[in-house]
Amino acid sequence: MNKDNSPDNNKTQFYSNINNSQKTQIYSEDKQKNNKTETYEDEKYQCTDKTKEHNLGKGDIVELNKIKYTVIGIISEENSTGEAVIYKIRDQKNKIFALKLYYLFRDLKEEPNPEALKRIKKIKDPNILKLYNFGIRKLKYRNKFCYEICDFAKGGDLLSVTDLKKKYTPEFLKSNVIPEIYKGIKRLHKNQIFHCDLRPENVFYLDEKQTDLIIGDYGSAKTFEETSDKSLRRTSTVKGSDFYLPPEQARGLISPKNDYYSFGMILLHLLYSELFEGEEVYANFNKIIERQFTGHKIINFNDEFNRINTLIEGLTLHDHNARWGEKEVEKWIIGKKIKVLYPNKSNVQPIILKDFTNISTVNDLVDCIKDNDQWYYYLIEDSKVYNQLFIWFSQQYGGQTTGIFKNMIDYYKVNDPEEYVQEAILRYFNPRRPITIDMQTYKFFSEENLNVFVDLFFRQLDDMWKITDIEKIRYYFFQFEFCLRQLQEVSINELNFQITTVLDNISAIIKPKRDFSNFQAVLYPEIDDIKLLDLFYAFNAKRVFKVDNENSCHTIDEVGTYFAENNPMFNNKYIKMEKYKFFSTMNRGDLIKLKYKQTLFKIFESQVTTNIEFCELERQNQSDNFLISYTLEKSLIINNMNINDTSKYELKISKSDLEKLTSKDEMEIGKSQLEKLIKKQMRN
Amino acid sequence: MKFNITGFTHKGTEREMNQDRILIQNSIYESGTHNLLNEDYCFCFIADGIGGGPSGEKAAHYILEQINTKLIRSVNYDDDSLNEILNSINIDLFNEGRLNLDYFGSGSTLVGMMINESYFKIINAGDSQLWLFRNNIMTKLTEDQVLNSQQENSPITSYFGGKNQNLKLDFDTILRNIKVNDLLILTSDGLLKSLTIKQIKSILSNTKSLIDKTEFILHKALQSSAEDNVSCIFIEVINES
Repeated sequence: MNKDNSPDNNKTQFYSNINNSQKTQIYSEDKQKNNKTETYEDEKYQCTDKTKEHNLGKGDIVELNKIKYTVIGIISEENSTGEAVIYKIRDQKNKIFALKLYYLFRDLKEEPNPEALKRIKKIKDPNILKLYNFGIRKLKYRNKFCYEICDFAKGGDLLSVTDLKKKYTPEFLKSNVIPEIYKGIKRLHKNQIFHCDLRPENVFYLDEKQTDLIIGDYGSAKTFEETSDKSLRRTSTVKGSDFYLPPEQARGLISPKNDYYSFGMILLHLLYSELFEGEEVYANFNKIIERQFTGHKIINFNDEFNRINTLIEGLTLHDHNARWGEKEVEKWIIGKKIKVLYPNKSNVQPIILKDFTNISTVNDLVDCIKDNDQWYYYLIEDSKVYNQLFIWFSQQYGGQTTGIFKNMIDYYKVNDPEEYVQEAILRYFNPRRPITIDMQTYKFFSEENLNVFVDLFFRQLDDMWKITDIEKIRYYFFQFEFCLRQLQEVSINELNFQITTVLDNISAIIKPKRDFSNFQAVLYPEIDDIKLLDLFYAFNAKRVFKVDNENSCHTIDEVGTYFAENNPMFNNKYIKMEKYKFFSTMNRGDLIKLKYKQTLFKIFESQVTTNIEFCELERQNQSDNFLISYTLEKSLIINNMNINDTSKYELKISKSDLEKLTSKDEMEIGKSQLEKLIKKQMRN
Repeated sequence: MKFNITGFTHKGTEREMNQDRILIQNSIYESGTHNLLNEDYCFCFIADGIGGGPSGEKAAHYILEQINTKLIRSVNYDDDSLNEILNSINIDLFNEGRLNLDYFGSGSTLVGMMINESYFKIINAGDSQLWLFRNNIMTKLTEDQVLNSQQENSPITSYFGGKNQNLKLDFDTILRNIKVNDLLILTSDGLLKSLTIKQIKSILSNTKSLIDKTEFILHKALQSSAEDNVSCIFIEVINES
């Protein structure tokens, strides 16, 4: 396996929920509490008086869709995906519910899907958490917050158990977990709903004894129309937790198989919980992904679990066409034997390059692109091989994904040099591929504090901008854009919001000409020096006039001094841009168009000394108008440097005005009078 | 930039008549090879007539005639206005078919390219194609509007001559800009039935003049038995001087 796909131990934001047992524990604590007295419950909830965003706490009344409920407590300040607070509420008939009250959505598109919720609300099924009511659009709570009211799951979620190993024995999985989750998924799909975010934290125990399983939390649910001939839909707002997310969902593709994949990963988690614990968790996950890609069993299964292993294998196949769905699980439940169809190398026709390189697996392709100097010539320029590439690809991933893959390559192939094509393909297969610029590595995909790294990235570009070819910077920016767009597709909540904000900020400066689809990045082609500088300012609030990587000017006066000391730099291409941007930012547009000396005299206006010398007086064409010529000498001393400018000027004056200025006998103009006149003229 | 434009339309070796028409700059041709060098702009279209009897060629001719008169060369049309103009041509053709037996049941595909100093636009409906030959690579810039692109002779899903809902004009392109030395190739589906992309590419890669290459491609297409009509327009982008 190549370096890029090597296990990455860095924690990503959206993993962070997984190991965080506090959140999931809440349900189980709750369970214990129910056995105790009411006072204990009160004490427990006192730790949080009111939630930050909603300002709600115990005893408050919430009116939702004209029904009044009392808040009994806060079940979790933040639900497992960090998008809402879960409250325990009671209606006037003393019935207890769980209220999921979302944080403020910044984008309407992010809100739960009303159609999906409408359908879920109609479902009465023992395996689907009953949704009593929901509020989105006009029905939002306080016109601001979306909400969902569900049955209160007394037994917490799948992970609310003290010992996963003890609880999730193969027998319990077979008798309870598998059939009930299966029925729940089947029911949702029958109602034309994809859950899209099945995780152990979204499967609950309705009873305190933790036997009755039920699927809940529909924040990410999507609808599909069975009548539509496209069973594979592309959606722009895909969310989901990375562990349980099928590979195609990361590319925005949704089909009934998505939920079955998550089902498989849940079972893997319950049965092989050691993989999901401890420091190795991310490394383990990367290994699973790696093995999936290469068509191997995702882990070394424990033979004891025999049939459940097969189910997990079938459900977690990389290729969604071969992956098990409703039919296979049904058969499995009644005890039938079904084969797991791993991509068979003999089924996939390998691509054979002119130098006899044989490409059968994605790894072969990745290795070839990275290591073979002639890869572009062999693979892309050779039209026959190029066609083969997509036949090979479609045999593994199916037609629709192939279309996207081809459109992506075509786009970069037509418009950009080969390294763009190379980078796009490598990133397509490995979204975690880091960006490396001069030894500095950025792992946007796995950094928790995205904004800090984005800022650092722009700082580095800023440092190299003036000494690096713009084409090279454009290439780095392309990688950055591609990486962020990929991340945007798969990330959820806060991280997704952060990425969207970053991309929106960039789009405001660089206006893209088309939408981002098919992995075709749109911002990088528009990059030029001026837009780059705008970006540097946008992502670095402290940025000022930058002379070089060590020196900056913070005030207009400092810029003036710099110019006085470095006259030739005044016409430097980059310094000119710095000047323009800095003066605009400082609201000194008046300085922008001035020439060198004018700029300095204007900046240090108060320190400029002027000397006016009268030269000549001339009558204009025998009229009553006269022309006074004079010289104006300006001088300025900055840091012991003398800056002088002498210019000749002419001034029109009428005879009568002139007479007021001159002594009667001689036509001589006094200096002070001339100055007055010039100042008056300048005022006019 | 300037443009060398060459093109041909030929009935092929098997068919009795040519239902293809080509429009190069200001003239519509129903046969022969035509060359125009050092042009200031580019206004080229291929219409591949469909339908029985004479109606296919009538439809192809009608569309190009209308485009020739209704689209102004110096205007940078946006997609909406292009849609409006081309849809009105489509409706006229459809109505013509109801009144005039010559046009009854006729239709045509259309692929075209309009380029001037500040503008380039691809127009596509049906399965005629536009290719770009840049840096020794051939890339198809249009998407065939057919039921199943994997299948040969798959039914066309968008064309002129039906009701407006049957016409789905595509102006989308992945191409960001046109560069000097680019070679754009407009072609009806006939050419690619006789020659492979590899064959075309190897002819285009040699150093002969565009006129020679064009002649050679037609010659090769006819030699390898052109079942369908074959039409092609080559647009070479050259330097101002």
